[in-house]
Amino acid sequence: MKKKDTTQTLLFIALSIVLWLMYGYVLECSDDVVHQILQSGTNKNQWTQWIYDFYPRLQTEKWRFDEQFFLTKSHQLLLRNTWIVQLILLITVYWYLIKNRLNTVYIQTFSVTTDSQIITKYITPSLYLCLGIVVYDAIVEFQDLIYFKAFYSPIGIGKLLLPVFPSLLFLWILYLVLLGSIVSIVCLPYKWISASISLMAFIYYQLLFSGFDKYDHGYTTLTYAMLVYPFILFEQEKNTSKYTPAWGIVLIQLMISLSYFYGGLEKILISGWDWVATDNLQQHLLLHQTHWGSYLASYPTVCKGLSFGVILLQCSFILLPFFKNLRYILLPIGFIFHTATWLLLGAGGLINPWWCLYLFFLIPLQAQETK
Amino acid sequence: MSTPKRNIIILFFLVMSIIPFMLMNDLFPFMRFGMFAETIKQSPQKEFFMVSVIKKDGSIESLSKRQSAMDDSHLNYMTRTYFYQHKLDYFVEQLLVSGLVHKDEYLRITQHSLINKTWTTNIIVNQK
Repeated sequence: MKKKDTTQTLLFIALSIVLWLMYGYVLECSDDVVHQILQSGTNKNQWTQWIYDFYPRLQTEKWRFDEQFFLTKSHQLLLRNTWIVQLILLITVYWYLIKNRLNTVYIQTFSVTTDSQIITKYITPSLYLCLGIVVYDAIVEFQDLIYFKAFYSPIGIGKLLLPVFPSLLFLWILYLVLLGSIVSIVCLPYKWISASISLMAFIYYQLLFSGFDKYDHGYTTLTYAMLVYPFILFEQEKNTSKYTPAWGIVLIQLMISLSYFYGGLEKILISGWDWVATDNLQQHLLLHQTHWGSYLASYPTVCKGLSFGVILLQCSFILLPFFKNLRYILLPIGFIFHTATWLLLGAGGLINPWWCLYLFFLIPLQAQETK
Repeated sequence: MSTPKRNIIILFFLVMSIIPFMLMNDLFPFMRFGMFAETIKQSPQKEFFMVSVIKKDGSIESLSKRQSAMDDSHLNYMTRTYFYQHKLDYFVEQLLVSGLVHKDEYLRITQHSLINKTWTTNIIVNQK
């Protein structure tokens, strides 16, 4: 072993020991913090208020679950953060070894182009048509949300940006602005500006809806696509050639894949093998009371097999941006997964933005020519 | 777009995607994906709140049928929040004046619990 390698290894071990000692110390203290929050009842000081602001659900859940539930959560929180710091340490210390390999993968992944016509003719109109439909549905819902105006209680950033529920007239005007921006994206130059306006309107709608207790995760991947898409349009406008840089497309693919991957990882980290081996899925099916869910709940072995399949599917999705051929397997299974979630658990709908966005995995990409 | 700018944007998205996972919380518009991750073990996980209306003729209709904004699952979620935060009176009062429940109707909130794979029902509110 070279002298540099030995030094780096010793450094890595020493820093890791410090890190895990800190983890142990904070773990001891965290139990007291959790205990104090749970014992505080309805009393709130500045510290607990800050925690409630960040974890709004805690205000309800502390009355529902026992202390052990929250201790497990806080341990998990600390463990995840320590793992991430450990990973950052590993990358930093051994950067000189992995730099070239990482750089090659990065360039191979993101230095790609796609046919501009595909973006203009198919992807942009499909994506923004999808947005127009989603927001129209939202406006219809907002007409009824007026009945629940008294319960509007914004969370997170919504507290700052949308402290009061707006009038219906304002929401319709906003919808017209959104429609206008969608038309501009298709017909006018400076498409990225119009795309940014429709993004803001879409985020506004989601924040408003989250004021009724929870964020709707059904639109997450669509939001990610909308966040990245103005950059794709910007690149396209700056580029006059037939092919346009497609790193934005790959980034959307990666964000979609990560969403699935985190979903699988959460199940493994929170519940472990119990998520598959116990009657967990049966209980979920019975709780959601759908016709097909109740029927399936009477087949425990099938439920266990499906649970395993779900984790396998979600964790495999992360491979998709790097191994394109996997799309022929994972995308149809993903479609079946979302349709089954709707039929068995009543979550989402038949038309689901999650699988609609599989469109991004179907765009042909080619390696960028080096100058 | 220049390569450094592109790299910063990519890095920003990748970092922001991992933060909700680290903090175990949504950081809108970047989300955590913990839905259905918990195994159902404790009894509060096996309950469901139903908000319905008893009409003049005695028939029962779910409140979700009267508007499209809140389905049964969302109403369950909201009711649970007010129930456990000991604010159910306010919740009921506001629903009664919302216009969704007519004067000659009763608002009914029921708590359904799944015990040994069988549902039991407990009426917690029945108010005009």
